[in-house]
Amino acid sequence: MTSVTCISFFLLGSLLAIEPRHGEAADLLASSSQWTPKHAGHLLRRAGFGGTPEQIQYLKKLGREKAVEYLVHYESIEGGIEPLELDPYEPRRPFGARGKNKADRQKQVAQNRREDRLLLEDVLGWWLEAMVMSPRPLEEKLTLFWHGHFTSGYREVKSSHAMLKQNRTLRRHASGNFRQMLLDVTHDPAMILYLNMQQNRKDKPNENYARELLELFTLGPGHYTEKDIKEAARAFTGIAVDQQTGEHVFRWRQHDDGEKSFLGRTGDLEAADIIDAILEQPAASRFIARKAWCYFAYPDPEEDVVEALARVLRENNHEFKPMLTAMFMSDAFYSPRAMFTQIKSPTQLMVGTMRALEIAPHDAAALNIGLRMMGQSLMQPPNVKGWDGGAAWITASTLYNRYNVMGALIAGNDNVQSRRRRQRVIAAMRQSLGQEAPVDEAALSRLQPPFDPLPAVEKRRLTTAEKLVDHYAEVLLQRPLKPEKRKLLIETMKPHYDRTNPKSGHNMDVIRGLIHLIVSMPEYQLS
Amino acid sequence: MSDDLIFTRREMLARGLTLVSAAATIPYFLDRTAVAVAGANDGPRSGRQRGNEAERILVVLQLAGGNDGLNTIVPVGNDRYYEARPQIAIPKNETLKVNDDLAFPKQAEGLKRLYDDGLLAILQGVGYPNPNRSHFVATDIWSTADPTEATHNGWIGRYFDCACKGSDRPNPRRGIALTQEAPLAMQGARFSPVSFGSPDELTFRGPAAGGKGTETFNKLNRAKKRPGLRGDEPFAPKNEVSALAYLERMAMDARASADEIQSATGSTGANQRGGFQFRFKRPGRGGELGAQLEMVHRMIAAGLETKVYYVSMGGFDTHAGQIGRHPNLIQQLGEALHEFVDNLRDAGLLDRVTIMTFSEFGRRVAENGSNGTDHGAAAPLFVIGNHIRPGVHGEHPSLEPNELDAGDLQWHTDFRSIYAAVLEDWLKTNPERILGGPYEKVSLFV
Repeated sequence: MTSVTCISFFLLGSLLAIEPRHGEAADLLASSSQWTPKHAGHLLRRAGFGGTPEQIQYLKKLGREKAVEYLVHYESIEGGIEPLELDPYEPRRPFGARGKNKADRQKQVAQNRREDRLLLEDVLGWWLEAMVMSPRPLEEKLTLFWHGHFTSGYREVKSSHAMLKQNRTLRRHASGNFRQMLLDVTHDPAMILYLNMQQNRKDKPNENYARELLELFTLGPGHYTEKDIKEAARAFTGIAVDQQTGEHVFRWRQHDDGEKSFLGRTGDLEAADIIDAILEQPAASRFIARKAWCYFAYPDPEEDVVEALARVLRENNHEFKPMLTAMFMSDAFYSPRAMFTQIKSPTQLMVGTMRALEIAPHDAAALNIGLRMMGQSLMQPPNVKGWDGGAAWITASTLYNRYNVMGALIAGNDNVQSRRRRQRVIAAMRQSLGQEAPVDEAALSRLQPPFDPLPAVEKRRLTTAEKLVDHYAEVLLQRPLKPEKRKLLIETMKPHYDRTNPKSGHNMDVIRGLIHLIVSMPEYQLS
Repeated sequence: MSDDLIFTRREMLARGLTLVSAAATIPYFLDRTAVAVAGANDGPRSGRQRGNEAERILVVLQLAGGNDGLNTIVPVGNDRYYEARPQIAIPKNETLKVNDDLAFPKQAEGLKRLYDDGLLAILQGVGYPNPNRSHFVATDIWSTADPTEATHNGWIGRYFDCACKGSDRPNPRRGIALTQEAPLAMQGARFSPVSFGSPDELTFRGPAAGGKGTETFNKLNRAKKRPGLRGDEPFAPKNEVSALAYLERMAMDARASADEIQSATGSTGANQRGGFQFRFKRPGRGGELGAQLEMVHRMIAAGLETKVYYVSMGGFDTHAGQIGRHPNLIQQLGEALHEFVDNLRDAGLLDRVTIMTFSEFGRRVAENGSNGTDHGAAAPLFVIGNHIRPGVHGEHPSLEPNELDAGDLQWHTDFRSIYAAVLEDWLKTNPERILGGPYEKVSLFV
């Protein structure tokens, strides 16, 4: 972990040198040196997906500044997740199709679609594994954040290559520069397809992207006119996806090079001019600062907090790292409004549980189905607004699905029945897709083993019901258990627990039951 | 610092993992058999009276994928229909007569019987201005009742928002959706429905489930009275205590819904009919939709306080091979609806129930090159019940090529004027607040 010490602190220094304009904002973004395991745990949960008590202890020892630096400047952390390489893009997928007549071509398109859908499982599996295993939790958390902001959905985009490429784009700029992010998102193939830039042509503009860019991505309603939308759409004409390569291209003949007026600028405006004009608006930095604060800290933030954070973004040339640092350093981030007040997203719940218990993802396909059951299909947000989050995560069925998916994660699915079932699925896929289809049988046959508590039992000598309850409450809830609930859990467990043989298989089942009860507590739904 | 503090790539490899390349959509999560299967069954609710006998119920049936209206209510008297669909038009001698101009396909016996019994209204030419031909956008438009796509909650959800007085929290069991995910139509600003694919989902399962474990689970998921909180606050936590209070309440709600629904549907063995699980007279008819409607019947019969049920049937996106597929769908639809209505009538419940179908769009008038049809616009919809004016409402939209809208039928009845009739004349509420403006009501109810 020597990488931590190499990090230069100049950004932090320049941040602290900023002279706040009014006192209240200064107070709200003020930072003290108070730093307990509770603070460190909160930081790791919010700037990541939580972790083990040892990882929290590690951040605790670093102190607030160094812990924040360690997480924010994650490029210095060695051993990042390896990028996924899909099979090379084939132009027939998913756009064109060969075939003598129309019916043949349509059949070909349908086949291409099914094969492309298979690739999406690779992408989703890789992403989930990255979130669980990456040593750079904030990179993963930010990528997920941006995915919910600059949304695109596979159902509409219909290309796994494009979805993966978008994930790379969001990842590349996750803690980078807002302007660069906006430029690359505007030219991102999945985004072009998702928000109809492909149909946005000179004399026949499609306003979809222009509208969402202003309304949902950068400014928010009230900071532009309908005319601005129309003019921005004209400036974006020509941006398209090449169906042969799947890459972004610029089609000059489709581009409207006439004079446009947008947010006070006039001229032959192009995409970069539109983005610059947007970023000149103070509303842009406020919009993104507010969104980040709501996501990482708490909803409905004080206006002064938003403005102070927005100013950090503006005064640092729209670089995200200083803003993130200011946020994670501030006392407000660790205030009672923030601590354990956020309903975990399904991804946070699943990835967080796996990180806390150190469960590796073996059956990523099944885990992604679990996410969908809990209400969060990655790469398929409900609409361009992304996931509403908060209270919207919880309904009767999603709550039961949370409890039951966690139960299944702990129990695993590595058994004879699952194997047989999986073989039937593979056979059915072979039948519908043909023998040459890229059906990865090895990956499909991989099942999730049951969670194994034995290493912890041995390492920590967890030989009584009391010790086990206290250990897993610490690992999972990361705060003290209420005495009556502790008593209830111990009483539930004791009659089944065999004290004479702590390492018995029977006891492992009992411990898995205990863990399932803890993750099925309302307390566990909060981060 | 030891190496196992933060996962590293090296460690991942040491664990024998390669970067996952999992494939395939597997239509289940983890094997049910892998987990202990035990119900959270508190036994049947004894002494529970059938509440709200007088209450009217709406069943919304979504035909997902865009139902081909022209092959559902066939314009057998119009040559243009046969010209536009040389391969897939339904010959007159393979239909069941509605009137001189219109007919059902012969597989639609169930619909025909409902029609003959005076229980079926056919509303022709339903649509809205500037029809959208994307499944998802069009479904959102029908769900939100807003073709401008500016609204992010549903018309039924808003009905429940409005029906709920003052600070009372809307009871989620007022709206039940038999769908995996809560449909947008049922989602209000404050209201959120109970939704489930199967009542079995509302059961605590896993390593802790069963016996003492489930008992403890129930105790852990109980709401505690907290000083200073009324108990109906929305989720806007000031601190951990208020956040937890909200979640405990939701957890208790979920358990109450689960108990009530399972006891009503008999999915944990308990049921309302003296130990016998209620079945339709001709069980198995109507396929999956039939099974869903059977479940709705049970819940109605059990006297749940549910005002709107939402069910969905898929498969209507018939771009290819429509000749065999679509008649099957219509047969299933007819059988399921007829069986549902027939059993409700026997149980003396039909007076309380109105059923409305909808589909996000109709299909192109002309067939495509693969014996199918592409996304279209206006289409008919059905309203079924004892209190409606049966028969055909409205003219068939013109099939003359020059009177089509980009090859699609033109609408003449705005779907919101049907919603307005259902809201005002069946659910007895002011539709303006819910639909965001006045719509001329269709004269649909007696």
